[in-house]
Amino acid sequence: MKLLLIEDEQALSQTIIRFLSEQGHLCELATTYQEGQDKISIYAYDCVLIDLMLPGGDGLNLLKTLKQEHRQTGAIIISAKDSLDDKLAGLDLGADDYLPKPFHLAELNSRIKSILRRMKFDGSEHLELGRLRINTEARTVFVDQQEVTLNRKEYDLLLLFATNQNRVIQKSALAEHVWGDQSDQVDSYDFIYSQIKNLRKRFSQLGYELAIQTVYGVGYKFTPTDHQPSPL
Amino acid sequence: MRLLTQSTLISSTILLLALLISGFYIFDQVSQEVRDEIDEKLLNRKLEILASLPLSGSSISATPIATDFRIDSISASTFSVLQEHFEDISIYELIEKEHEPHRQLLTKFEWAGHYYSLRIQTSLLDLEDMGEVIAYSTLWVIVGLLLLALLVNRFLQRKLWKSFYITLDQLKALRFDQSDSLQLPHSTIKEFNQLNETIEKLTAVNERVFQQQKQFVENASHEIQTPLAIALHQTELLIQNPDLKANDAQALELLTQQLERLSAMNKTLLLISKIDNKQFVETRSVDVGEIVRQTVDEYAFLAEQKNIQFQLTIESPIVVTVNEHLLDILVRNLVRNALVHSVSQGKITIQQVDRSLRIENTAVAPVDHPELLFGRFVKQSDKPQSLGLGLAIVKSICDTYQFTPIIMLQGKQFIISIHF
Repeated sequence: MKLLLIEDEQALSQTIIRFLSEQGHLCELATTYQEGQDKISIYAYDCVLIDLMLPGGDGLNLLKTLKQEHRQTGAIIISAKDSLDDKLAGLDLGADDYLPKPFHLAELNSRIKSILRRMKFDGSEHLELGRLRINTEARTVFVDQQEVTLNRKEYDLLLLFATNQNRVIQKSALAEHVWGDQSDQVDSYDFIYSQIKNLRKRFSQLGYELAIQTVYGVGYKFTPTDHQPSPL
Repeated sequence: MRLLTQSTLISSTILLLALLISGFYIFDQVSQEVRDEIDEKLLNRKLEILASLPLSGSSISATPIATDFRIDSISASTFSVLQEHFEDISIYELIEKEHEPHRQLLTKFEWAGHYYSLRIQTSLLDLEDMGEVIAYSTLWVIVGLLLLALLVNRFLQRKLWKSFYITLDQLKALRFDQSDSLQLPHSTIKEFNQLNETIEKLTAVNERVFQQQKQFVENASHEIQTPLAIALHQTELLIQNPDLKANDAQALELLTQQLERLSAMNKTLLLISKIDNKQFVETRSVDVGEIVRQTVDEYAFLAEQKNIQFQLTIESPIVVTVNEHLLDILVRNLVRNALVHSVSQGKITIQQVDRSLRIENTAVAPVDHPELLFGRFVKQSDKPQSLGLGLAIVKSICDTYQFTPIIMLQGKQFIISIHF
């Protein structure tokens, strides 16, 4: 997939590009408003990541241009201004998502994949991971042909793992993804352990072992042995 | 009291007093004049009477009934003491059956070797009538002038002060967080124009300062979040290394935790400053109980983890007109605070009674000065990781909407109650 990152902070953009490339994307960079404008008008991208505060202009204007010229392109606002007004303005202009800095790369990855799925397959695509199949539109999960009943949080947890296979996901990333604001300033992430135990149990009841391992107590890693990851 | 009402009242009172005094003064002056006139008439009458006396004779016979004077013979000694003078007397009138005021001239004369006293009377009723006329006309003048004063104040003054009241109304509605500026009227009155100019200057300065402050806080947050984001991404990438040793991984985890703590602190300070700057403007009526119920549901995962029971009693709905986001943050901080500082296996009691929300939990550690917990960066020693900002946010939101937050400690029971 072809992505464009419009971000003026060099250290940040380098990390994001390195990460997205590792995920199998082709990722270009624009560091100023003008450069972003040029690239948007000349090339077509699958998804554009836009920082709001750019040298030379407001990222919201770039978003407007993008949505006027390529309505099909996905857009994620990555902003250091965690402002409700900006978020609403961005979503109004057609942004698909709003991610306040600092965000976890795993979270960014999950959001990009969700947008790409929506763009390419109108959201009806199934995520196939060997015997495991996730219907992201209906939010249903199957092992072979058998449906696995998960509650909302368990599903969210599984989806983050499924979109970040073979990567260590830190506990804070899991907490933020599933519990959002509620996980803020909670004194420990112990509750994640029991949630993952529950998730594993749902699958083991059906005779399927969900390959989520803890990594030095720092985070968790999902490595489905019967499947090779794809960019989606 | 309104300025116009007060000025009308003062000017009317002064006018009333002035008219009363002038009424008395006029009456006094006029009655003085009338009395002088009457006295002169009495003296004339005296001359007429004396002139009409017969030139000779032995004595003056008794005076006829219908006359307005009486002549009495007096002794020589009385004659010598008697001084001619005027006096006010009242005479019983048979027809009216009441005493009527009269003016009397008492004088003396010598006639044919005899001494006589002469009393001439005339009614003072004219004067009384005049007093009445003056009193009534004064009263009507007073009533008329008062009405006039009221009308003048109502219409003329209102017209004169109109531009002032428009300015006042606009100032009352003025908010720096909204971009619509003042539209002050142009007045024909110099002072009001000066006032408007001054206000415009002041509000422009204030608006600029407000915008700058808002911008500064946002920019500061931006500047801090970006390096934090870079550092956090590096830890996230480093942790992917398959050859990572266990203690390196744990060091990375510690690093991540601290960076996240910094980030949370930055976000929270930004939030407090936004609350204190009144940047959450939009309000609507919200049911507190509804938010409490939602929040308790959302934190069920944490309660389950710590084996804590929620006991929720909502007796009466509390509907407040606030920014919903802020109320959500308020309730969230209270519930989270209770959860984080509660003993495991404990119970959190949330009660909504009258206009109060009361949250009670069993505290893990004794609290020395519970009232200090509303301060910023005040935290309990058993939670070194806590930011110590949760209750400071609660306090800031309460201050914004004039809610009253109270912290109490009853034995080991820690109670926070918010009166809406």
